Amino acid sequence: MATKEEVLSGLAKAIIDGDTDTAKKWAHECIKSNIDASEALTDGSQAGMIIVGDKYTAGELFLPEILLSAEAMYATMDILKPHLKKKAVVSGTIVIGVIEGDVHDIGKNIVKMMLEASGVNVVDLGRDVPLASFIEKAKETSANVVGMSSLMTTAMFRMRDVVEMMTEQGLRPKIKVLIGGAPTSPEFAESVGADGYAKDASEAVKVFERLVKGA
Amino acid sequence: MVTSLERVVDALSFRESDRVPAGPLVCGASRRVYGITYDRWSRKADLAARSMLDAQKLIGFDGWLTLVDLCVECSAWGQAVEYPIESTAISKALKGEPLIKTVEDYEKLEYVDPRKAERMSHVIKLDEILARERGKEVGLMGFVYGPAGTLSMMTTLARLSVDLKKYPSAVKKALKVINDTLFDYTIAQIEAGVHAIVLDVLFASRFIWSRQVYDEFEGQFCSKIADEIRKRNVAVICHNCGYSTYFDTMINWYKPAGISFHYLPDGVSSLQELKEKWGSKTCLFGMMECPTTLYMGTPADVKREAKKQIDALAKGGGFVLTSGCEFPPNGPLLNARAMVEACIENPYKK
Repeated sequence: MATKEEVLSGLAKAIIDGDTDTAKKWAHECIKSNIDASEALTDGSQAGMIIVGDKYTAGELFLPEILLSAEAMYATMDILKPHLKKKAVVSGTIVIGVIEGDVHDIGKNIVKMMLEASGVNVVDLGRDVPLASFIEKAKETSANVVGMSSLMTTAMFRMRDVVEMMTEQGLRPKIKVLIGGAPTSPEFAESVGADGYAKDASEAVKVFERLVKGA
Repeated sequence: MVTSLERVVDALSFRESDRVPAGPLVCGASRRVYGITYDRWSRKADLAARSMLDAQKLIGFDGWLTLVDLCVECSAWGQAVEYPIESTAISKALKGEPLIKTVEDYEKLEYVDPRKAERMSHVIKLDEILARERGKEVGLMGFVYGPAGTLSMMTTLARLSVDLKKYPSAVKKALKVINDTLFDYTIAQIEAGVHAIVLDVLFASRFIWSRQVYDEFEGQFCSKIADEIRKRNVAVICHNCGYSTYFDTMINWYKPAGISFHYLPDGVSSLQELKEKWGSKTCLFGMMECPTTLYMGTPADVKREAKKQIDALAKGGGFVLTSGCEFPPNGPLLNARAMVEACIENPYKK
């Protein structure tokens, strides 16, 4: 019988390999071996996905690999989540979406995966999200951060409108704003009044943590 | 007096001309010169042509790129497309309505005659009008989205990237069919009178596909198009506005006369290194940054950045100052003019 360390490292490796079938087997093995589901998620599935994210940033893995790994991670989460004895430790909540007028969501989805892998509660509004929806959902979920992305210069300026609407409703600076997307930049983030900018998914996790801690 | 076309030819031939050629890639933005909405510009070749002719007259750039949007190709197979009034057309695959819904759908794609496809005919007609009206004086570059890019507009890039790992043979069948149509589409544009074909090969980038995946799922197909372009004595130009692009891969497959790019390629960390490493191998078309400089910046910002690039990249020819991607469709046109002025004001370095 495999030791706990072997099961967890097997699970993490299957996620890194993007092998959904093997990852599911290890997830079931976690349950069978009475490994705490929360530990399996953190030290198995999510640990594997964080390595995938790092390798993507370093140019060792590419988009197909990261997407296959994400598929494997979500499959194991489906198996493990019903066995969680207590609510997983969440480092905060983010409401995330692609701004109205734009439907390019691949970058947003990678950010979502990496945030979830880091234990963040992600409320995903999808793409072409009406401006008011960011605010309504942030209030409803008591989110710490609103995250917006865009790939189009024709749409990206709407982020400023969201920030202004948040200010008008007295939600700033309590709820922070994080933005990203290919045409955006730190200068652009500053110009629309956002609190943070992330150039990729790994950075998004770090910036989220910084914003939540208020640093 | 040197014409715009001669200026671009000089650059492609690694000769210094009277000045560095300027190509702000004013495509969708030209609609604002002629005064029509984006949806009409996208679908009416005669209006698009008038817009682009007037924009060239107003701004004075040296070459047109007949990029209408990235949905022209996929629409030939019936992919639904949305035409916003004041923004670029969007494939509805990105809104949850992909043409390719199952693995079997990859194998159902059939050859389409580009001259009978509505939107491809639009671009061919646009090429014809521009070539007829000013083709002897101004550079005219046709545009073709590569087979992988075209397929991604019928599936989404995420789905395609997963499917090529799971169902490589089905994906390749679709790519072969698409490539056959794009091959004839390219010929039709050449026959319409363009001087160059720009092949958009976006996925040759470290943040999208590995070199091996790129070779297997685009390079081996699209290189046939590049070979035919060169056979017809027309210039091949690769366009890739992604991050960390593979210049080596593009040169290997397409032997392009030039590469149009937005950011420094993979393995290069400065303009000087870019010139040293690639400046004698292919003509550099770049690399004015669109969102920050051309969209948000002022003409003075544009001129400052342009000067930096001209100083670093233009010596000896082999450089065209272009926007890294299409000029922001809603961006300030004075910034496009500032690019032209920067080329007039900054001579080649001695």
